[in-house]
Amino acid sequence: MSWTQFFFYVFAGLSLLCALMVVTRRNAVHSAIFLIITFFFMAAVFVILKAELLAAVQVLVYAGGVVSLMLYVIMLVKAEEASQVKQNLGQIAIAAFIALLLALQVGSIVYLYFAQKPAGKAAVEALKYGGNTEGIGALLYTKYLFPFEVASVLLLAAMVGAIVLAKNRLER
Amino acid sequence: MGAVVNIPIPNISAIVPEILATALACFLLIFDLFVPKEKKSIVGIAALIGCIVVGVVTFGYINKHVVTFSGMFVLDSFSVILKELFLLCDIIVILISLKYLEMEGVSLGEYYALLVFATVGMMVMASANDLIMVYLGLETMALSVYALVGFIKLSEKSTEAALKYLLMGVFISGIFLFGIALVYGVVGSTQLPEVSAYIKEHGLKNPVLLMAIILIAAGLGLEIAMVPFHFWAPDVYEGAPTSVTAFISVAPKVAAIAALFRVYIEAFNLMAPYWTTLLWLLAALTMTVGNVTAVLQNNVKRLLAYSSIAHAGYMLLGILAYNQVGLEALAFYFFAYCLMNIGAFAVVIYLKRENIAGDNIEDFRGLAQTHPMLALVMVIFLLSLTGIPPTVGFVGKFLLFSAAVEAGYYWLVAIAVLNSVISLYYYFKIAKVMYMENPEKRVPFAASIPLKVAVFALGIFTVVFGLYPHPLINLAQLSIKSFFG
Repeated sequence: MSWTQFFFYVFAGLSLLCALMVVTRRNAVHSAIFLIITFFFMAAVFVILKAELLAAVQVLVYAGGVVSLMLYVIMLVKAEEASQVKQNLGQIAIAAFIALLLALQVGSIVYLYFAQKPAGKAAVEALKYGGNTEGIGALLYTKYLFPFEVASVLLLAAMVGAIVLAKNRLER
Repeated sequence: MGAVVNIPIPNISAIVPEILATALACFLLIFDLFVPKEKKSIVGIAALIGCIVVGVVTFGYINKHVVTFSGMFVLDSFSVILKELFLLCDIIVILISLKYLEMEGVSLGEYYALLVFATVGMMVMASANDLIMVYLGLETMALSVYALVGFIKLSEKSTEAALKYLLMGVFISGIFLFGIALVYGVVGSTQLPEVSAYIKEHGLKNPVLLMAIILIAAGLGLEIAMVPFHFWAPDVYEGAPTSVTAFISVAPKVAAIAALFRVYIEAFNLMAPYWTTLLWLLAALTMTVGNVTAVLQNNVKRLLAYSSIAHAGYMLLGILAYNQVGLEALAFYFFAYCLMNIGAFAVVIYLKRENIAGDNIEDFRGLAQTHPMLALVMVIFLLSLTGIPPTVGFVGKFLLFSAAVEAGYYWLVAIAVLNSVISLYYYFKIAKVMYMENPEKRVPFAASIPLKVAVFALGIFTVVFGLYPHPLINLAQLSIKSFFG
């Protein structure tokens, strides 16, 4: 088993474990935080698969944007309940563990960079377009042009729907 | 760096109907801003005219066969027929909503825009040649419909229905995506012909693909309201505005069944032994559970919800048969179902008055004495839903059942016929109340002219196409070319 494989299984397993924690925690804030960790591990898997752009998007958009928004929602909806929840005291060990994992993550990135492993099939495909970001951009405007456009219609419809529902409530 | 990417010019003319429909929805959103609050029906009339224009343009594409956007999008007669059907649903639903929305206190023009957005999603689903497109179309439709369901202000029922639908919907769409991911993991592509080619090359004994077949059926099964995924339907149908109920009981269901048909026939045709077993079971369950539960209902909207679950079961017969007759019968039944089911809901809207919801079975009491014509039209719809001649529902059921017999599903057809007999009981519970009982109090109806036009036109078409089904059959036959050369 190569190191890449080893790291893949570590990150994939941990992201599954964290995803399990997301659905089993009773406290919604804990769930959201585990979701962030899940997204980080998934980003690590993307890095191993040589999809660096997707990894960055995963962290910036999902962990950074979506879950933060969810945390705001939880705080707004259950503000009182959240303030009564006691802080967990056994956090040092967990924090250290997570820090270690993050260090492993960074280590794997550095390792993969210096080891100059032969690129996988996906990366070869991407190289045709001059790199990862360019590859995704090119795919979006060639093969996946139609889904890309339909997705924008989807988002517009979702936005209109959400605003309409919120407006209905506000006009009470 | 700096490799030049050649962007192939796709055949844009093939997606003109979709572009027009999207443009119509956006236009309605903007137009709505200039229309005062009391006159929102003007937006509805604009939407109506727009839908008719898109329908006419779409009809020009019949008999064409174009695959474009790197194989993502297919334009064939089957998809054109479906698009016409969705636009027809839109037109009828707009007609029956114009006055009804005012009565429910809805003064938002976005209603019509969302209706058209939902149609865009279904049009994409009808033409999807790739699982990703099926998913995106499904979501565009579903997200618009969630908002439409929760449209009534101050109504706890409407809000509850929207939330229930949303939660079920997002959960099931996750399952559907998981199915697509499994297909991609095995095949390396989500395009239907490539999946088919992979199965041809590597054989059909692949447990992962088998799993994907089940998950895809589950993902589309929610919109079809197939039995293990039907629990949302009665609550949502009851809580939603009745015009929206009429819409979601027909258009999304038809879109999902058509998508399931295309995915199973185009991608998994060689794995038919597996999915026919699955659908056999689901069809039998869907028909039986729908019909037996409908017997117990006293709210007409809930009753029609269970009846529409049962009708989904009959329509699955068309997929199961997967021969030319089956496809023709399925396409015919889509139109028949559209006419009679929206018609029945339109009558419920007709009964809506001050303080009376019109969806309780008592509200139909003595309708034959006070409004003989309306009672007659309702009986026509009920006859058609049961499948009794001379109505379009009879022809539809006859075609479906004979296609299934031809494919050798004797037991399933026996179950279906038995179910039709059960359905006779609860449909005629409404007829009995209308004809055998005396009216309680006379509150005049407030039906508007568009609603009257829609109800009586639907009633007339239900009978006319029952006696003379050839125009519809000819239309349905065009779809055969899309799949069976």
